[in-house]
Amino acid sequence: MQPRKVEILPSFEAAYDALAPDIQERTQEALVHFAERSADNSLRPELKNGFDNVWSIRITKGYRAFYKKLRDSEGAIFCMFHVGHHDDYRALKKLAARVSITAGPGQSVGVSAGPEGLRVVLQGRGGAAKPPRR
Amino acid sequence: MSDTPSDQAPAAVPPPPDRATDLFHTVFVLSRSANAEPGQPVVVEARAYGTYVQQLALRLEGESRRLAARLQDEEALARAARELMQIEAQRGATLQPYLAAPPAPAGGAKAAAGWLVLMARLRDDMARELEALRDARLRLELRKAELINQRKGPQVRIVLRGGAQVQLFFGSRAGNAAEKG
Repeated sequence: MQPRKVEILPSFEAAYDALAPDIQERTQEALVHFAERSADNSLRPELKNGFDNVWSIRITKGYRAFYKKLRDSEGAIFCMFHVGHHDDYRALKKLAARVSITAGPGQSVGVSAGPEGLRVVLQGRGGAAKPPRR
Repeated sequence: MSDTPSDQAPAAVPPPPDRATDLFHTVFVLSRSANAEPGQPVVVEARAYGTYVQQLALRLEGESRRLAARLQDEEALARAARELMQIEAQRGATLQPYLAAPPAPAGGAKAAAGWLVLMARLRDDMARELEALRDARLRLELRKAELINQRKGPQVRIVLRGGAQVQLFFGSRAGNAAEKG
């Protein structure tokens, strides 16, 4: 399969320059893979619902790059126009659904809310167990 | 630069129902242990939160479209987007622990099914609330991007074919930045 043709628009460069160095590095890596079609499973290109021909690829858990899919005389061209903070709240919800804890006989599940959020702790025979690792 | 209320972000984002946070915590805890099905008051409160989220999403979409069409200033759009980002971060801090928490344990504590259904519905609504804020901000950011590209006008286009050219492009950018710096 032919590599993708990617256009970098001025707005993308402006947004890229505003990123922290580590996110810039991840953005570069993502774009290399995107152009090579070598990691679409992890890049997860998707059409943004509610927006006109706006697509995104995943840079990190909290960042996405945005592009429009156009065509020129040579075929498809992917015009990168923005990169920025963009959490995937559905993924967060789905990820939580994959982690499960089981309270065995004589155990109970305790929940406490603290400054870092909620902690779920198994308690039972032999004292409190460690919280489940995610 | 105008700072009239009509140019401001939809920062008058209506707050969630007063007892929403108590609701999340109550349902979260009881979805792990309560034998009895949820009572009417908590179901009504959960529905009220769902209605709030539905109305919020519509309002934010409308407001952000209006602002994006009206504002012709990159800095004003950036400022409006930053305000929405702050609101998103604040709400995210409240909601993400419930979104990210593992589901009720299987086989141990026996919670009534109604609580589990309620928790699932609440999580959907929480995700929807955060998405509405996020996408309203994105709309403003994309409009700002359009203005930047219009301002820069037709110039040498940067079109890269394949990963090697992408790498070369960013490499030379870094090199140019280092020279200037």
